[in-house]
Amino acid sequence: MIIPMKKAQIVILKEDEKKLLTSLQKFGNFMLVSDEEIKENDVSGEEAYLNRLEGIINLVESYKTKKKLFDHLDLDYSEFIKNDPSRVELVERIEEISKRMDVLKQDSESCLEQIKTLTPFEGLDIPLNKLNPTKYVRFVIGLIDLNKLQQISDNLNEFHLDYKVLKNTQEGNGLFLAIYYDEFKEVMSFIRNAGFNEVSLPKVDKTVDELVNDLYNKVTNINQEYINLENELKEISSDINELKILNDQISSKLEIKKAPTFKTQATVYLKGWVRSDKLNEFEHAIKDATNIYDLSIEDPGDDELPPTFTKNNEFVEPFEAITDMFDTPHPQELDPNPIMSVWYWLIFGMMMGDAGYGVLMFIVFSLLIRLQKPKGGALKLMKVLLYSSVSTFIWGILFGSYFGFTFYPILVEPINEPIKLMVISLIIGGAHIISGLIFKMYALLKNGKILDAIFDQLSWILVIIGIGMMFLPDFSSIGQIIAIIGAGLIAVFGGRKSKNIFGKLFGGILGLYNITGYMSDILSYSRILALILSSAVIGSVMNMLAGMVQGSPIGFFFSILIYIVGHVFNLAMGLLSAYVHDSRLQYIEFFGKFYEGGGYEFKPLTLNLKYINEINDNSKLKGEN
Amino acid sequence: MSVTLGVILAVIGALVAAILAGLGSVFGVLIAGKAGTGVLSEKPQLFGRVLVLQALPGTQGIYGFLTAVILLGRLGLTGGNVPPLSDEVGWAFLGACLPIAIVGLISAIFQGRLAASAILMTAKQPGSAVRGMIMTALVETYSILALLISILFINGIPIQ
Repeated sequence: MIIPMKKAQIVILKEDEKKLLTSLQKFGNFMLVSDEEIKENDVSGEEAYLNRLEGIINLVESYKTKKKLFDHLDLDYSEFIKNDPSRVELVERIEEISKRMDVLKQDSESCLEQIKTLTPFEGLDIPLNKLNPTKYVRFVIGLIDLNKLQQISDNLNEFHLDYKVLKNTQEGNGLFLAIYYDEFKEVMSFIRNAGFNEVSLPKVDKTVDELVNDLYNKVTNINQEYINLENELKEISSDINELKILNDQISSKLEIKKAPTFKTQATVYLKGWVRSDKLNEFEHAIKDATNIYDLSIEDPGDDELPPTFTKNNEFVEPFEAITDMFDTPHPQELDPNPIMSVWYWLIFGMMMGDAGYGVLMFIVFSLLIRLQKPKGGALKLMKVLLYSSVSTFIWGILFGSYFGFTFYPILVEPINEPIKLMVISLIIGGAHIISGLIFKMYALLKNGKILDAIFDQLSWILVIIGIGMMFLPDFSSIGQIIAIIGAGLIAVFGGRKSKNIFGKLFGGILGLYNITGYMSDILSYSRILALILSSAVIGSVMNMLAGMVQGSPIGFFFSILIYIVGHVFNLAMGLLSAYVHDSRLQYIEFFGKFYEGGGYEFKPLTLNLKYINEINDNSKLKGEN
Repeated sequence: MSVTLGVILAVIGALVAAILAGLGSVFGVLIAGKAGTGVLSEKPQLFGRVLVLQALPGTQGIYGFLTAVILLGRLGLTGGNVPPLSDEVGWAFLGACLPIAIVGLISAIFQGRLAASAILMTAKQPGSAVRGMIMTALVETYSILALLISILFINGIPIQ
């Protein structure tokens, strides 16, 4: 049912604003609206922080050593609103760690790079700062290809120089030259032509070997520090819930900051919608925050459209998501969910139509709900599928279908009696459409529009039932009479709303043309047969394939593989088709008969929880004691 | 045991249904998949929704396959016993396979195009993925009708 909304306006002192909003957020049934041009608070800082926090949570999550299967995070409200500075400190520490880790990574890379450039010169046992030019000799260090060096070694000996071949590495071969001052330019141009690359090394009081050694030590130290930091992160990962709580705290505070309020010098004005069944709690929530307030609660005006909030029982509730996907109900119309949910459930099970798949669906979706703990739309969808597993099981027994095998069908055997099953599908379709028309009739009667209910709805119900009965030999004459009465009502009264005389006379006869619309709507339900057949036949083909390879142990293994893969594929395709086509039948064939829609969702100010599964409120109990 | 022209025609019918409807789905899924990969390169988190939309034009291939299996079952070919069919009955079976073969081929391609635009819509508005699914499924309605006609005829044509 749709809960009516009341318009609430609150004026409070400016200093109480935050307290009031916090209290209303906890109350969670008040939707703020703004009609004036209200300057929104700047929340870019919080949003940036939340972004960083998400990165941090992901980082820490990756260092989590033990991953719990049932990870349930619930918290007391009093604990939730407490500002624990240690959480912020923890975030700062983690950011420090991750920055330091980045630096260390870069350092170690640059050290390794330096080692790579130094290794060719290992073995040069002079400290590098001693290699300054002397009076007659200049020293040069560089890389050269070893083959080239052998080719030119004879030429080199013609110059006045001495050289030492150092280590050969991937980069090249290290070469140390001591060249006579006068010949320096000639020698250099000669060896450069032979592919010599001069390398300048830091002029320090150390040999290359010592330098390399130092660098290796540095890398070892860096690695040690890196491992220590990683260990610290691993330790912190046990406190990951603190980070998650902080995330939800900040995003909840962000909601408050984004709330549209109108401020004057000393007061704050709030306007919004509140559920009419929560007025007492609403006033309590305000009183919790402040004693100085002015509250007015009134019915929505004629020119105002309140948001729509539907409240249904445990079974119907998840199906609201299916309706909302199409359109949110108008606040003034009847809630279509209670009747739609039953049909959706029934037709979904029929489309799947296999008892084995029903059991499998039940296991998979109850586990998914337990383990993944989805929220919002995903949870509702999974619940729809979980509930529908029961109807799948029941229809499966009626069809005698168990994982594609057939045992004792009670109602009909889909593969061998498709005509019979098509008739059943069309009867279901007719009943579905008639129930939509009855729903519309009820709504019209409630508004006192008796004539509309009889001439526009009841007349068509009679036509559909009458035509249906004409197919039964025993009732065909009665069916004919019922259909003619219905058609007569339409033909005579269908044009009653028309202004001119021709419209009144012929409008009804033209109205009869709508029969094609109803027929095509009902024929559309033959898709139920098509979906049952496709999953039944593919299931039995998989069984046949698996049966063909049985015989040897290896064949037995393969047959099990075919059973599993084949049926999982068939189940997945069946779920997708049933979901899509069942929704279509509701939206187009069923809702087309009565549903108006055009409302918008009730989005109250609530705690914005991403990680916390549940907030327990013990304060109420304490307050009462 | 003899394979008559009638049997050959009926088998050709089954193959045409499986091949044409299957090819239609190949193109349809390909068209939708191309749009999908483009979207995923920017928004990898939409993989689940995009995959579902991409899978929608795949059902026509299943329908063609289904028709072929039902016809083979009707002929008794799965058990290896071939009934002698007259040429006329063979032609009738071939004709019965045409609705799903032709409608399946064409509708899968067009459904693929619609699925591609639904994927692009999902990229801009992830919340509207289901609406895109429903709209895409409207195209499939006519291949379902064609499938039903094919199956009803295959079941209705007398073998002897």
